[in-house]
Amino acid sequence: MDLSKVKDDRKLEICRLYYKGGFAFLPFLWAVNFVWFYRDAFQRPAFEEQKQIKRYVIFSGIGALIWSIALTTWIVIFQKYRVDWGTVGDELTFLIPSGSL
Amino acid sequence: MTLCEFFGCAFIGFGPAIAMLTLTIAQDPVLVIIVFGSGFFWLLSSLVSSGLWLLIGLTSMAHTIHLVLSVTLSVLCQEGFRYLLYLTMKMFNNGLNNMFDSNVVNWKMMSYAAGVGFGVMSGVFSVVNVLADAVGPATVGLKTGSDKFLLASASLAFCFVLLHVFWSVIFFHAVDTANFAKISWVIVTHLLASTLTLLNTSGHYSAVVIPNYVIVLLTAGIAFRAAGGTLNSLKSSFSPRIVVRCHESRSLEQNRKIARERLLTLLDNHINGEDSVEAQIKRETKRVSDIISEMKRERREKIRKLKESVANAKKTSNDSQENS
Amino acid sequence: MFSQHFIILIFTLTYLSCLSNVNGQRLKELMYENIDGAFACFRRLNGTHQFGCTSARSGNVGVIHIIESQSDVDWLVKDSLAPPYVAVVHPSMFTKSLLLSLQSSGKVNGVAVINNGSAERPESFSHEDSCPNRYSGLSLRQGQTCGVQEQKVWNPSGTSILLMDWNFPIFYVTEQSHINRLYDCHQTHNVVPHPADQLDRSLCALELRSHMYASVNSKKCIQRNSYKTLFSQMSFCDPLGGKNVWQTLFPRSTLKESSVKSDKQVESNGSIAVLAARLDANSMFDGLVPSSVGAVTSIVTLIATAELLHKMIPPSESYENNVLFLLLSGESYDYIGSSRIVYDMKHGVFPVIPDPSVAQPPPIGLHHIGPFIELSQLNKPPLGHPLHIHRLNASSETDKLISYLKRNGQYWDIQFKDLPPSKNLPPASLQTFLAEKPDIPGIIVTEHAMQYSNQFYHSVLDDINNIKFKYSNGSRVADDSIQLYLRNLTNTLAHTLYEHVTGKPYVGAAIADLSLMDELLYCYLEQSNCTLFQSAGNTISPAKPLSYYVGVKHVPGLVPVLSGSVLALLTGTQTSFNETHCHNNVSTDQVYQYIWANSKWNDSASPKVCLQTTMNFSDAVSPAFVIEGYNMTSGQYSTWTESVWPELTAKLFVKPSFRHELMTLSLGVTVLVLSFAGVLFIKVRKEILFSPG
Repeated sequence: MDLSKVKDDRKLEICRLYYKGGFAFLPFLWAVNFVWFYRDAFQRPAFEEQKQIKRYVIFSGIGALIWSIALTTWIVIFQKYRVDWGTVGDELTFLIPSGSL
Repeated sequence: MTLCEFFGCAFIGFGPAIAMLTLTIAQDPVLVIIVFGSGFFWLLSSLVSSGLWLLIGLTSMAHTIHLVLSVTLSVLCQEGFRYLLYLTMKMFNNGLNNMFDSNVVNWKMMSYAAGVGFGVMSGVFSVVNVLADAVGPATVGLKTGSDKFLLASASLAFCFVLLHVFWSVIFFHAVDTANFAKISWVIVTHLLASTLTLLNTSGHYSAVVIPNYVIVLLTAGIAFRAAGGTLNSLKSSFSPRIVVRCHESRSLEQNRKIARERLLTLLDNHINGEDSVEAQIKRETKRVSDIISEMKRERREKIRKLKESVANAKKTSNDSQENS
Repeated sequence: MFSQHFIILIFTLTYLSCLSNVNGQRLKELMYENIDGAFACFRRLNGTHQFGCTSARSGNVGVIHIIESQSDVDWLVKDSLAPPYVAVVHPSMFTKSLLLSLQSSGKVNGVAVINNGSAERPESFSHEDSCPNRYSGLSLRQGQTCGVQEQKVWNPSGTSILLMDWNFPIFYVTEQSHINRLYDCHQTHNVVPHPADQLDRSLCALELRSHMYASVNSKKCIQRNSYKTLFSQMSFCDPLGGKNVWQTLFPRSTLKESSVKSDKQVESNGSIAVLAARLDANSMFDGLVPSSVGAVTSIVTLIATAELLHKMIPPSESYENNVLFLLLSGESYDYIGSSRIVYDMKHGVFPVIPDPSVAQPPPIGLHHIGPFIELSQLNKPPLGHPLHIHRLNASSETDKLISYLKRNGQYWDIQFKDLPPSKNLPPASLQTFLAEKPDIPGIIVTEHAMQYSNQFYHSVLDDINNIKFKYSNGSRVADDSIQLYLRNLTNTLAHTLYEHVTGKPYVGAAIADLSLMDELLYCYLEQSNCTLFQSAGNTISPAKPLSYYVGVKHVPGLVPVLSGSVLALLTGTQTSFNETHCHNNVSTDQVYQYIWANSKWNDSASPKVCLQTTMNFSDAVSPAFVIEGYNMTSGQYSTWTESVWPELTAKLFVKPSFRHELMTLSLGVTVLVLSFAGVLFIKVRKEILFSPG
């Protein structure tokens, strides 16, 4: 879909859908929403739906940010301490590396 | 072979192909279609020749003769399919150009694209087995052959990609002009180059690669001629150039006029240097503006002096009034 | 134009004439040579550590360097410039210090030991601990005795290489053609006057692939075995184990009255004498565990004794006392087999789990066990030297047993020397029984005194040459042969056990069959598809020496199966059942086993019959893997496991030099850049180059 050709009311619909969809543990949807509608929310001259779109874009952005921080932190902690956790670490591991700890 | 060698050989074999595809083919949808189409024709030819190879295998003949015969037949198959491709492209030439309302694609460019498709496909088929076998820690040289084998194979792929491009250009041109000498040159050099590759496993790499490069050079020359090049054009392509671009107006005529004027100026500059019209105008303008600024400066000086003398006069008159 | 074509034609013809050596071989076959049949060191684990070798997941590659002297080692460790290397060594150079220096050099990616069998044997070659099974057996009860203070160690040549964790693979190559290839390849590619010269050329290299899945210790990998992911359940390691073989001289009575078959089947109050030997041994390499002194001599003596005792006691006679023949598996790994039997005896489930619905022998407990004789590390001692008898405590029963042995030995020219009772017993299954019940009157019969005389204990060199066995195959056996010596020992043992069972000395004429002893040794040492094994119903074993490694519990090794069926063949009584009946009986009768075998042991063409036998198998799986929630670090039971591996392969090939690789890559990049430049040039100037038209 070419976003530049879509009408503003339809844009609002899409933006809202993506915003709601992100709550289903889909932070990537939020990130996409933020990037796609960033220009409409902040850089275009004012239009009727802009205020709502702006709200959705901001919340999506914040959500995506929190998710990415949380995931990064967890990944770093997991990689660093998996071996030290012993059995618990193994149970949390999906593919256990063969031939090593 | 390691990853280093893998990429080295892949680049050697397919460097020209990659460059041609990205720089000359990728921008034009018609050429892309032709590349794919001709690649498909090459695959069809190899299908037919593999069928022939199986049939020959049924007869009982010496291994060497079997190989040589199948190479010959395979070459003839490829050339046959090149002719079929020519006919097909002739048929669809106008249709293709109409479909993508792009500016008319040159028939020579199309023959070149057909060659690229043939070349890439045959190159892939000739070295992909070698490259696949060679992904691992080893190089050739344990039993027979030497570590030059992979380089030789890659160089051969390089040759064949180029040769197919040249052959197609020559072939299409030759069929257009019914020049049978050129057609037979294509077939004979193709046969020669292919049979040469059979020697690659025997270890006489220079005996394979050097004649192949000679063939490439000769064929390149003929292809260049067929594409409309001359010795003169080759020479002049290395001399400095003047480029004029003009998109000022929406009218082609108008643009052409402006461009011609610009070209005239540039040429004038290039040839006459200091004495060119533009340079003269520049010089004159500068001289005039120098004179004017000099005059202005002089005038400013005069006014300043005048003002000073007036002020002095006032002062003396004031003094005299106080004294009196 | 015409002359041009003519030249081309000549060109073509010339080249066609050169095509004589054209071939269409696949490139891979030209690049690699598989070293088939190489034996690899693998990873084993116990409750606390990992041992053995592993390669990286995709194998370890190293340039071959042949080590024949210390100067080669120095060259490799100090001067060499093209690491990583694979060190190719002869057994005589394969020492712990060499491996340690190779490991610490950081330049070595693997080791290949080459031995074509004809080379000179090293003085000693034993990779086992100097105190085998140091932490199990009696040491559980009374602490370590081996090597403590004044005590000598049992295995002085033991280097413990087997019990270390090596970070590179070690392979053992025996085939002469492969060894020649290694030498040729090394000679043509790798031999250079200066180390720096190796940088400029392609070098001959080996890829050793023996990646091990398990790591850390048995506890960890058993735990990991049980994790199931969404897609698959991966196996990391398997507990070591197999089957014990046991047989009683007389059948023991059943609990079920209806199935009483003869008056022999009444549970007696008499004691059960035990004659035990171990079935397994150990070495560093998978699939190559010969064990002449380590296991075979004891096994064949035990089987021959069982056969002779059956001949000596007519079927009509019946006695209170019984004899239990035990062949134990996994004894090299902290007494797996014997510890399981002791565990089962304690719980009343030996030999079978009680089940009132089936005809069963009653359980045997530790209290049933009377005299216990274990045969261990037997060999023909030097002329005039005795066999040695070890025991824990002096008791009247052991004194009696020893005096029987000595007296019977006199007839057969076998001398025994009883060593003073000591807590420092040699590694033996008896230790497990004594640890549970120290008053068992047990003795261990060995050839060695306080130190092994076998310099190749638990190694690949404890092979047929180690006991100088020569197969007679029906012709006269030499007087100084190992066959004759073991035959005499068999007579001695059988007569001693006869005295225990009947209470009186044997006066009959039955003696052990020398040709049977010859055949047994041949089967166990040389050809496992021999006539005897075939007569016993075995058709699967290949024509090569057996491997005495215990194996993992769900893949029973060949040795217990063969030994059990040979025992059955030699001692079983013929019945009139046909083949289907013979196999069906198994489910309804646990007192007897029925096997379908030839009627004569030395003729695999003789008619087949159904043999009834008291021989049976029991699980030789450590109680550690039976007890729910067993603490794997407690050290009470054997916790040995073996890692799972995907493949054990070795490949020989030529590795390109770094400079060659770099040159190829830079050439490729140059071609690519030049192509772009050239095509760009032509594209930009195409109007000038190609005139329109």
